[in-house]
Amino acid sequence: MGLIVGVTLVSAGAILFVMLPVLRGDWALIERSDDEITDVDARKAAALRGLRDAEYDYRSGKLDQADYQILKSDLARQALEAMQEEGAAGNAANDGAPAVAGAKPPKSAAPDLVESLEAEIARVRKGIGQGRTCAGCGHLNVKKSRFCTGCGVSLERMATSAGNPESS
Amino acid sequence: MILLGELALWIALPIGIWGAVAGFVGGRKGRGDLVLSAEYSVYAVFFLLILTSAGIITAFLTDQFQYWYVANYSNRELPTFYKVSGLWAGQRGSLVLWALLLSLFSSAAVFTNRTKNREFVPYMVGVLLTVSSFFLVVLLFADVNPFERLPFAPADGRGLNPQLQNYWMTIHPPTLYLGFTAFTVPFAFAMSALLSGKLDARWIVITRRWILLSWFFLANGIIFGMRWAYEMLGWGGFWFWDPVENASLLPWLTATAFLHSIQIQENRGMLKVWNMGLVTLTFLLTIFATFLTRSGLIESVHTFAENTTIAFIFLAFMGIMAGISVLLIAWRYPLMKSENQIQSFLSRESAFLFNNLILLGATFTILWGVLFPLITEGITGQAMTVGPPFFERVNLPIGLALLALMGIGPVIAWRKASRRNLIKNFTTPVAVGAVVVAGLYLRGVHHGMALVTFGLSAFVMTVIIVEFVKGTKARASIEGEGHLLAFFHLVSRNRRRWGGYIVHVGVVMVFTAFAGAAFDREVVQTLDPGETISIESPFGHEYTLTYQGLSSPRGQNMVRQAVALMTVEKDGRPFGSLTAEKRLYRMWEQSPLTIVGIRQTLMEDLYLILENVNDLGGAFENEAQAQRATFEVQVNVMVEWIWYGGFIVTLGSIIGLWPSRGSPTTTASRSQTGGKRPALAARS
Repeated sequence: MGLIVGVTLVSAGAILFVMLPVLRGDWALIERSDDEITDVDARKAAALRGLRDAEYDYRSGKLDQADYQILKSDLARQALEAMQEEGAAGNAANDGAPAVAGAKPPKSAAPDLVESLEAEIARVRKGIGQGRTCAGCGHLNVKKSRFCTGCGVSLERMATSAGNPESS
Repeated sequence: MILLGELALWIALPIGIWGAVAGFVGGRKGRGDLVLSAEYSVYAVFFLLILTSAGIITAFLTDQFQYWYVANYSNRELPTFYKVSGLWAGQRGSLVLWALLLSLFSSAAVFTNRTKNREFVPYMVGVLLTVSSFFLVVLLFADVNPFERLPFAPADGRGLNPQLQNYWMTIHPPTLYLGFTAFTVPFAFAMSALLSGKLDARWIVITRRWILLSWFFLANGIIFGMRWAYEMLGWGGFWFWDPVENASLLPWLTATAFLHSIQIQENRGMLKVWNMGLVTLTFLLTIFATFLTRSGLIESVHTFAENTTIAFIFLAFMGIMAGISVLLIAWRYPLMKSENQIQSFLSRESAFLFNNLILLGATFTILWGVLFPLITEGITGQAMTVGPPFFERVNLPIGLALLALMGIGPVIAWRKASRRNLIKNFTTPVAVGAVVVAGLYLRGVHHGMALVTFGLSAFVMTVIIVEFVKGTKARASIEGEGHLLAFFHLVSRNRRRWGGYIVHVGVVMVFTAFAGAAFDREVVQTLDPGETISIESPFGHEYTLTYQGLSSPRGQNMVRQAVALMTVEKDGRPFGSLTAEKRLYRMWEQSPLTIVGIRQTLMEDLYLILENVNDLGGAFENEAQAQRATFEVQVNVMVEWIWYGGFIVTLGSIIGLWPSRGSPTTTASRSQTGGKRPALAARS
């Protein structure tokens, strides 16, 4: 008798438990919520991680300076694009500009890491912002670059021949 | 309890099927109530399978021999410890354990994603419950029901195979099964990404820890199995390329490839289709490994023929899952185009790609070696054996290439590395490797493959040490930290990378141990009490073992036990004693079991086997004339490095698995502290 009661209770309990949401009309969220990782977050985090690794690789002698500069500006561009997309989506654009240091941190990276990496991006961006665009290939070089890291031509010679190429 | 367990198994199947359908339909139609019902089904199946497992264990503990499974895998005198592990001692219970562990991980996946990644959840739950339902169908309809009753209740059971009465055997199968089942979660997320069309990098980010968790359990399960073989099988080896061993290695190889290739997708937006293929292949290989190990296919094609139901169901399931996966990948192919291309042959992504190709080469070679005898026996009726020589000949160069890549990969930068930097970074590690080879050669080590392995191991270890040193210096310089703090932060702030390097250290140790086996030595001798046997180790130590005689105690569940005692001297100084045994277990009287004696040191094990007792019957009766016995003494070189290497692999995996502050997991955890489940809302 006890067994029959036990069996009935387990069966009925399991079925009731499973069917409860349908019977009561409880509704599970099946779309992305605002506070979770997005594709933009993932791309931004990958770019930030890439920047961090690139700096370690450069400092530990795996990357030449020229390769490092190309890689750094490329990754910084990717991170900034992601941040701009994030800003355009209305997540982090209080001042209307893709301010790097003030951008919303990616949810997949540690806060301290984010701070240092975003400060790094800010440094990179500042450098790029005050740097020179190569008239030959269009590559954006960091401040005070003497040669273009994109094509290798002398920026100073080009500046002399083309007037004032400083751009921000 | 037993009847309740049996009934729970029957209830679990319709609930599993309902949940799978509700998950897919809920995801397709946007029906949140169905999705929630599917999630509850996952929890319900887990609860019901706990009841089922408890029912089986109760049947074992209370000697319910009217059940076929208990009668065939237990007996009254079997120690309680092994009665509990009877749950996975045979095919039927193992399939229950598979389903139980899968439902455990499914519940964990649903629970941890109750407030995040919600768009993946419906299909993810659908896939998980489909796999669960498959195992429940097998259990209930493929003649493997663990609750099947015999027409009569025998007075005692047939007992557990004596070789399984070892503590490693109680740990090894569940660990391996944890690895097999945990991999279903990344597969389910991958299928969900395909079904929902959300094919960006998120499913990789979400499942990264699941993949590592599965890999970690697989690695440990394999190492535990090696330890069991070393202690229990009594031949001094740890890997015999047995089909069962190979079956467990296959998904580990592809999971290793997957762990590396997802980094390329995350960092470079490449290999999206490849990664989908790898996750599918690894999942299918976990099913294949279970099928091969637990279908009886391995022992004989005839066993396979006798239980055509389970074979048909497994093959059909694998075929259907493979077919659906391929169709889904083909359907979503336009969404998975690569965002970048490999810029240079000298780049880390290129090294990872080579690593993947080599690992897949090893996978298909071993798979072919496993399947070939079955195929030939199926076609010609005659079994063609593929033994260790084939696997060793093919896998030795593959293993060495992998070892070399473990050293090359970390030194090459992403995207592009210059030759000048490569030369600069490789000089020291290559020099150390060359010095090790030259040093060993001059000291008399002339085994070619072993020298190559030792040289490559030294090369990889140097690379890793230099990585840590340079990384610490770079961190100290960037952050202005002291070197100790910089080292701690280096590892703790990028656990995945540095945890990975620590795993590599463990793998190098295991490879080194494999090479050490080339120098094993053995002596076989027949002795009377008082006589000695001597063996010189490759490291120049002289072991002298003096045979003290046989005694015959009787342990639990044993008919008889003959224990030979040896006192040991190392280089003329006392070095303790060793025992080796022959045991006759109850219900298995026709198969005496050999128990070896092992004296373990870091560089070499002294391994004693009681090969033969001239008069075993007399020895069991403690007769003075029945003391003459034949012994095999081995010196096994560097075997301990396998177990220490396994420990370091575990340490590195735990570092990689440890959640970072602010990681997606913990971010979500914080968001859950509001109390009320935000995923729920009243239907309006």
